[in-house]
Formats: sequence, structure tokens, C-alpha cells
Amino acid sequence: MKTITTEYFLHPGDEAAIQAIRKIPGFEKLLDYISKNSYEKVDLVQRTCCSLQLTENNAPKIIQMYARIGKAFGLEETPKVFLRRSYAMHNEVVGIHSPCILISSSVLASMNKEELETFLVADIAGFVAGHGTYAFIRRLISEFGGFLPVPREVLEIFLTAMNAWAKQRYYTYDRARMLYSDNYELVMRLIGFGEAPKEIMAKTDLDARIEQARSFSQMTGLQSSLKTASVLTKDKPWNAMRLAEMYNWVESGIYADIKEELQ
Amino acid sequence: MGTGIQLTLSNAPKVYAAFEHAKEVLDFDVPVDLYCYRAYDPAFQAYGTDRYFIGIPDSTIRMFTPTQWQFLFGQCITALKGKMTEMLSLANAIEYSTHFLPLETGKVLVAPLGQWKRKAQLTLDRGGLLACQDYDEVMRYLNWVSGVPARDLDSIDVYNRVEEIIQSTKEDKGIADTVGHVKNTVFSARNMSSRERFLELYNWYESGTYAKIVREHT
Amino acid sequence: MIHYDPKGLQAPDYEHPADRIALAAVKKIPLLDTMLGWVMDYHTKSGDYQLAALNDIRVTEHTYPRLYKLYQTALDRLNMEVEPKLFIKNEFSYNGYTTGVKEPYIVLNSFAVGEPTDEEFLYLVGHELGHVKSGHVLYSSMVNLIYSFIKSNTPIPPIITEGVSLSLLSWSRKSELTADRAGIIAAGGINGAEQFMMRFMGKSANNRYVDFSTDKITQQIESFDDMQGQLTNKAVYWLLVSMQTHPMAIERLREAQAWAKSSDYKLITERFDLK
Repeated sequence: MKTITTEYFLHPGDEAAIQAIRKIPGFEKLLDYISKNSYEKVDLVQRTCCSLQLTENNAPKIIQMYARIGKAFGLEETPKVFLRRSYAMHNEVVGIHSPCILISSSVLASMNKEELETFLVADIAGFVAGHGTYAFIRRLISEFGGFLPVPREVLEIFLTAMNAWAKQRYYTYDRARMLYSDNYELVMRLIGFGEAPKEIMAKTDLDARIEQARSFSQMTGLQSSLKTASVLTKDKPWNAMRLAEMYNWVESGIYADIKEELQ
Repeated sequence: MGTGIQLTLSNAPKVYAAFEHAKEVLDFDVPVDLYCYRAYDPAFQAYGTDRYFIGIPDSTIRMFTPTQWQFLFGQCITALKGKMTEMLSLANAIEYSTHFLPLETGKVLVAPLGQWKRKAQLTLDRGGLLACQDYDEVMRYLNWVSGVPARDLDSIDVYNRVEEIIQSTKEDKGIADTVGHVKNTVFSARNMSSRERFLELYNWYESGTYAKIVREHT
Repeated sequence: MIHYDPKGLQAPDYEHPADRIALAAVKKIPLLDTMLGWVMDYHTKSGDYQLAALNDIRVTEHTYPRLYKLYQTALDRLNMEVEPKLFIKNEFSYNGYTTGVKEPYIVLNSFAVGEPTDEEFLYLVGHELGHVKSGHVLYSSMVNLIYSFIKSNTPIPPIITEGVSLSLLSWSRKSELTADRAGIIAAGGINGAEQFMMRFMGKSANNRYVDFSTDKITQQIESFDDMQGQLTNKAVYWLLVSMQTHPMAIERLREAQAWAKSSDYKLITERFDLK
């Protein structure tokens, strides 16, 4: 199989946001330089002191999973991996130049090997797609925005726009997982993984979830406005939206065409 | 609805059965949708005015027994039946708006509201006990609220705990203790303390009122 | 129950030398003990203690036998003069605290008690008892009080307030190393301390993919030591930790391991029959 490059899995909304940054001459290089010489140094020290580093020595299966995923996505060197105690069912990748992956302890406690390997695709795919740059901009605005001579409301608008991009990432992750695993049922199961205990998820019909997603996406009037407003400040989309996106991507035949091209 | 997993008879039969049992006992024949979502804090949330929902953190299902689920559902149904969800939302909105008032005016205004919210918890506890009709299991749940981790809930004698609480109410308190006690009960905007909940439920149970209600409605 | 033997283990037998020196300097401030002791006691009794008494479960022989038995073991091993009341609070983090000067009490979070093993619990409660035994409680309460005062709108110039904060917090971090040593003694060895500290670093139950044996973390401790040898990394570390009350987990782990292997620890365990 060919290397899965970004053109195959980047969601159009995500791609547009990343291209907007890349169109500013030298901006990405400047951010890379700042990140490399400041935050990444601090993050590495912080992680080494506060989080357990996962290596071939103490977590060989995880490192090997990342190596396989990296190979599939054209990444030669796997980022450093650290463990983070968290109830959340998502990982974080920090840094642009030399990123660190922070794996949530809940992810490792809940998933079997197949689920975990597919889940971890997002960490590599996100890095390859250049999400680190956007995440770094969000971080800078959150931490230093107060020092800028702009009204708070303007910053809030900017952060809301960044959150809009942040939500698009998840559609990209789901597509990358689908291309890596070629397992529709598994990818759909990973959307919202952990929202209910495993025995309940196992009995939850995928069609029922898709139907729930369809009802949700078809809300109108006040409910629709409330639905939009309630996620403005969040950096994660509704699971129902992700299910609907993935369903449409597969049903439309786009996925099948891409898969054929990658063979 | 956007994030959670809807619970039905087919994917969560035990949870759904506990819910149906509570509905039947409390005579609440209104459709309610159940949604499970990921959260460590196992507090059920009841919502809705014309269409009702109950949000169930996944941790609740793992940590507690079916009888304790009935208790928690009983609390939610009591809140929905008594229109307390609307009143609680209104109370919270009023409290929030008083932040913009000068000096401590806000705190004085919301003190009665805060007291109502605290007392409402006692009504919810009674509704929950009636729904499950298992005093020991409810006391075990309150032990969890007090800090006992799930792994030790079964090994702790709930009656010893109640005895300890009753004894503590009879102990002499110094000035500082009394000030603190009043500050954290009468003038507190925090949730009702677990000790107060234990005592109230114990007194209600021991008084015979609970047994009388169960007898009359069986 | 009486645990104290005047000929038994005393705090100076295991205190971290940096803690002892720093605390001696703090104690030289005149009238601090008397003034603050009264204020802190009243404040604690009328506030935090009542919250604990109202909301949390107190560990006694009848209410929580499993933990009570372990608590008595820790009290015996540390040769405690007082038996602080122990409360468990419904809170989702691996933490606990000790407060109250004349009548100290300990509050541990339910998360810190639910998952960890008995050995880890002994380390945690021993850590808190170590604060009581070494007389840290007044001064750590003072750290919190002064730090909050400094961070509020005070007319005192920042150069003074930051300087005072830095020195108080520096002592606070040293005191945590002493308390860790007390925790190791209470747990009867380093294992409980190591495993509990790994929880700060991400260890959790049901994790089949990671080997949490402490020999595997040696590489990371060595990386930390290498980092400390580089000026930039050392400066970054100091910036990260200077305004914290606790050292970072890896430093605590390294200090704990070093002390557990030392002749001092061996002498203590033999002299007081603590194995």
C-alpha cells in the first residue's frame, strides 16, 4: 500500500484552515522556531518530571504500534510518548518541531489491541497534517492574548474561530483511522468510545446510533441554534456530527475511490 | 443527544429495568429518554420541560448496584415530577445574575434560594428511598458521597456510621466549632452535607413515616 | 491508643537536612508560632474542620475498620505522639492534606484510597503523619496564607513579596521530601512510595500495555539527572517548580529511592525494628 499522505484524509474544513496559515509567508517557520526554542523545551522538561515516559523498555507494544502507524503515514521517527493520568478518552500532541504525545491513561485501560492501534492513528495523522501549528497558535492566544492591545471580545471571536478549526480535526482523524484500519464498524465504534460502559456499547446497534446522529443533525429552529451555540467554546464536535460525517464519506463512495488509489 | 449513548431496553436492560421500576413505584408515566455519557462524577442529571431527559455518567453504572441506580432514578423522577428541575434552573439563573450586584447584596439575596436548594436535596433523597425501598443500599450510597470508595462500600457497616453521626451531634462544641457549624449549614450555599442527609433520612425512616407511606401504597 | 515511646523514632532521625535547616530559619521569626497558631486554629476549626466533619467519613474502628487498622500500623511505625483524626473525602484525585495546629487532622481523597494498595495507603497516610511529626503544619498553613495574601492586591512591592514567596515555597518543597521519608517508614519500604508516585505520573488500574516496575523508570530518572546537568534545562526546571509547594514527581522519586538505599535508612530500620 502507498503512503497515506494528507491529501487522502484531510477534511476540507481542516485543510482550508491549515492552508490559510501556510499562505502567510514565513509564518509557519516563525512559529516552528518559537515553539522549538521555548515551549517545546519547557514541555519536555515538564513531561520528563511529571509523566511516565513510554519506551521500548516499559511499553513495547505501544511504541511498536506507533512505529507501524508512522510507517503507514510516512513518518520516520516516532515522537516521544508520555503517559498522562486522565479520565478523558483522547490523547494530546504538543509541539510542532519535536512533538510529545500524551496518552490518556483511560485510553490504555479501556481498549483492546485492535481498538488501541486504530485509535492512536489520530496522534500521528494530526502531526503529519500540521495540526501542531494551529494548536500552538491557540495556546499562544489563550496564554498571552490578555497582554495584547485588543479588546477581550475580539480575542473571544478569534478563539471561537480556532475552536471551529479544532472541531474539524476530529473529522480528519476519523478519516485517517478509516484508511489505516479499513474497518468501518471499528472506526464508528471509536467515535464516542467510553461514553458508556463496554457491555452497553457492545449492545448498541450502529444503525441506531446513525439514526440518532441523523435526528441530531436535522434539528431545526431554536434547538438547532442551541446546538450550535453550546459547542462554540468547545474544541470537540458532537459525536453525532462525527458519525454523520463518516457515514456520508463512506456512503458517497469517496472512501472506496481513495482506498483503490492507495493500493 | 449529541454526545451520549441513548440507553434502551435492548442495549442496557438492567439500567432500563431499574429506571422502569422507579417510574412505576413513583407513579410517573411520562416518557423520559436516558443518555449515558463519560464523566467521573456519578451525579445523574434530569433535564427538560416538555420533553424529559436523564443524563447518566458512565461511572455510575460501573460503581453502583442496580438498587442504587433505582435510588438515583428515584431522585431524578422526584425532581421532574415536582417541577424542581425548572425551579433549580431558575434559582441558578437568579444566583448568577446577582454577581453583578454591588458589595455583598447578591449573597444576601441568594441566601434564601441557597437554603431552598439545600432542603430540596432532602426531598429528592426521600423520593429516591421510596423508589428503591432499600434503606441499607441508600445508606451505602451516602457513604460513597461521604468519601468511602466503591471498593469498600460493602464492607462498612452502615449502622455503625449512623451511630457515629448521631453521637457526634451530642458532642459539646467550642465557639469555633459552633461558628463553623452554623456557617456551613444555615448560611452555606453549598450542597447539603452528607451528615445532614444521613440524619434526615434516618429520622424519617425511624419515625415510621416512610413505612407508613410504603404500606399505604403497596 | 498510645503509640508513643520516648526512646522510639523521632523526627530528626529521618528529616531531610535541607528541610531542617530551612525550618530552623523560619522558626526564628519572633512570635510567629504564638500569633499564627491561634489564628490558624480558629480559622481551621470554624472552616475547614467543620466541612470535613459534615461531609467526610471519619476513620474509626467502627466506621472504617480496614483503613483504621492500617492507620494504627502507620501511627505505630512512626512513633506518633498524637493521633490526628483521619477523614476520607469524596474527591477524584490522588491527594490529601494535613491541617490544624493544636489539633491536627488529616483529610485524604477517596480516589487516593480506593485504587491504591495497602502499602501505598500506608505511604500516603505516613506522608501526612510526617508533616504532623515534624511540626510542618503551622508553617505550611502559613505558606498558604501568606502566598494568598501576597497574590491579592497588596501594596508591598513585588520584589519583596516574590522573594518571601520563593523562600517559603522552597522550604515547603523540602518539607515534602521529609514527609516522603516518613511515608516510606510507615509503609515498611520504598515500594508503596514508588507505586504511589507513579500514579502521579500516569499509572492507573487495568493498564495492560505498560510495565510499571520501578526498575523500568530508572532510565527516566537518569534522563532527569542529565537534564539537570544542562543549564537551560535546569533553569526551565527551576522556573516550573519555584512557585510550587511540592517538588515534581520524578525528583521525589529519585530522592526517595536514594534515601531508601542509604545507610541512614538501614540504621533506622535496624535500630527501631521497623522492617
